[in-house]
Amino acid sequence: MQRIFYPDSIVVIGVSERPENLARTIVTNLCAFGYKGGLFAVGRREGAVQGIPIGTSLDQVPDGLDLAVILTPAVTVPDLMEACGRKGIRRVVIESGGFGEFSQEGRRLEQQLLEIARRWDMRFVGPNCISVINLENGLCLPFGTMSAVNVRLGPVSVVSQSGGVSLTYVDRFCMAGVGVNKAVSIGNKTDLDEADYLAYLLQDPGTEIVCLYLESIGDGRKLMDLARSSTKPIIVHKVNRGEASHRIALSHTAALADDDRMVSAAFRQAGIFRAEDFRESVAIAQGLAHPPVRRNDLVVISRSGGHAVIAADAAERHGFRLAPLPSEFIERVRAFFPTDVIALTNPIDLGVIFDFDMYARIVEDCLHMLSPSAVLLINTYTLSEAEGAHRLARRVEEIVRESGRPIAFCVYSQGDESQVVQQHTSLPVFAEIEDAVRGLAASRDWNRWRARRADATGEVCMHPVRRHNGC
Amino acid sequence: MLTKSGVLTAEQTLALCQAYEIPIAPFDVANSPEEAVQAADRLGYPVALKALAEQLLHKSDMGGVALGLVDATAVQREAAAMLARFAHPARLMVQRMVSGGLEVILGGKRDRSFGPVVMFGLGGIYVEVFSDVVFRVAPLSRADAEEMIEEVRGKRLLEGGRGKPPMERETLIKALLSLSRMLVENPRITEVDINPLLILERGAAAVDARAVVVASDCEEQRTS
Repeated sequence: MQRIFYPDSIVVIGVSERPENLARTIVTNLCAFGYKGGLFAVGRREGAVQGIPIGTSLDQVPDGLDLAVILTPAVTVPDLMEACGRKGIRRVVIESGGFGEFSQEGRRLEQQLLEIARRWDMRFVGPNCISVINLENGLCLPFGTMSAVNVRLGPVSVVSQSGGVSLTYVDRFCMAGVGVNKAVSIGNKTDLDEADYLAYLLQDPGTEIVCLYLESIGDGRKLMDLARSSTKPIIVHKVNRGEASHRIALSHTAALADDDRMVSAAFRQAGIFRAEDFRESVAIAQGLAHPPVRRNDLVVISRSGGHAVIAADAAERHGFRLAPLPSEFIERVRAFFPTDVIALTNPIDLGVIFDFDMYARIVEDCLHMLSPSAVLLINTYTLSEAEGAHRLARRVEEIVRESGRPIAFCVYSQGDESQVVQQHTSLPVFAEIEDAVRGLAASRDWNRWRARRADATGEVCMHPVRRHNGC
Repeated sequence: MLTKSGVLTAEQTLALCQAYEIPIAPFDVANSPEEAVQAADRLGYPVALKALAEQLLHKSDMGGVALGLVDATAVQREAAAMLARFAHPARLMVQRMVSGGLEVILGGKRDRSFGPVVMFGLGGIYVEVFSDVVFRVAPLSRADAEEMIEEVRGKRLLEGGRGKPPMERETLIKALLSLSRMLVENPRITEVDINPLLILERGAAAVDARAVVVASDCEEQRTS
């Protein structure tokens, strides 16, 4: 696996100068993402792409390259695999479609690939995938043109049964202030499957959270065993709920045991987060990227009374307790208010305070005097107040870093401001109250799960997610 | 007992439960009305009579169950009628009636991705209408079993109230752990229902149970 994600040299096979050539895009992406290793291109006609000469045969590249990337018609792939084997290339990414997902003939070709791989002791990704991204070394192998503009190195690695979904996740995690480490679309998983990638990522130093998108689960026990022994949280976005085992049930138990129920039960048992959609996966990862939430008590601080009520509902739904505020803290906060018109309870309604710098001071006082497990700070503002709001975002990040306490920062403004504010802080900013509370709950549940497991095994419990500062 | 594939009778499945220390309602097997009466005398009245047949899945629908028989005359009459109705096989289960308690269902099956799984639910309409059941992958830990009980929506029924004392939770936890062990240790059992298991103020009693077994190890059903 290491050579797939960290190759020192790559040959891309199927490259031509034609603008619509997909393998050419792979070479372009590698250059755009700053891949620094040796790069070679092979195609049917001579030429050059990004200053790299296109050879017409694998014989023209050095022996023993780390990785070959193949994007040619399916029927040509077995011979190319064989040629890679002869050249001492032991890792191959096959992006071509037209295999088992397409026809009986394709299935036969896949079998051939397996035989060739066994013979040469090779391992391969795919076929039928957009393959591998590693933001640590600029490895970017998708055949669609990728933009490096919004990507951000971070703790999450993605394993996806769909290429399109893997790219959506890369974008979402980057835009959410979390960032991505590696991503792989596993295609037909003819050789390497989701469990292989998961096992690798769980011991990969750059990966701190793994997010899997799965349409089917091959060996559920293996997945559970990996999760149970994992020191890193695992989020699974499992779809295809209707998938049924189509067996006639003779008992009540079998009749009631639909596959999806089993998936939820097994995930719960193994400490795997099950996400319903992109948004929930991202919210969970955002929560886990914060300092750990250790208990159940939450203080909500909101500029808008309505948002505070919404937050109180969400907190209850996710099992948080909004403890009443002690009188010395109320006295302290009351001093910040110009007029005495708001009853101070938890949630704290900031109402008539218009100076965002005061918000930061109230948050700090709250941490010092109340030591809550987490704070949810909701700022609602118009674009005309953006400057102060951005200053607050930066200040909240500092407070989180200094205190090591989780503050979920949730922003409601105008237009795309919730994206803009993210550019001012490396702390993940939540765009919805529900997401913020979901994220905090995920962090709490992960720590609870780790503690429970530590009780059972005597293992030392530590929060695994260290903070990244973007790139 | 586990030599060929098919459905195990209540007698066989309850014996299996007993072997795994899941408490059962005491029973005996009779081949004639006279033997049924002897068994009933031994077990104590009232008793239930159940026709035993491997393929008889819905025995109550087919007149294969008679409940609450209070004396020898009733047992003699019902046993004769039942044996006449089911010419083959001519075997009856005579079971002591257990009254009161809360009906729960315990079950197990083999999932193609996750292997053996255990189910728990409240019996009667809770399982049939509301599908109020919880699953866990076997082997269960004690914490898993406790969580299963916490997770059913009707769990308040287990806590007593409305004039009823709380149920003994420990009995239920032990039964779940035993069933988990049964499934793990017997890979040929593909499905099992213990329905109902009556949870009593003290202890519990499995009243009816059935299991489906395959001839050879079904481990290969799990894709790898």
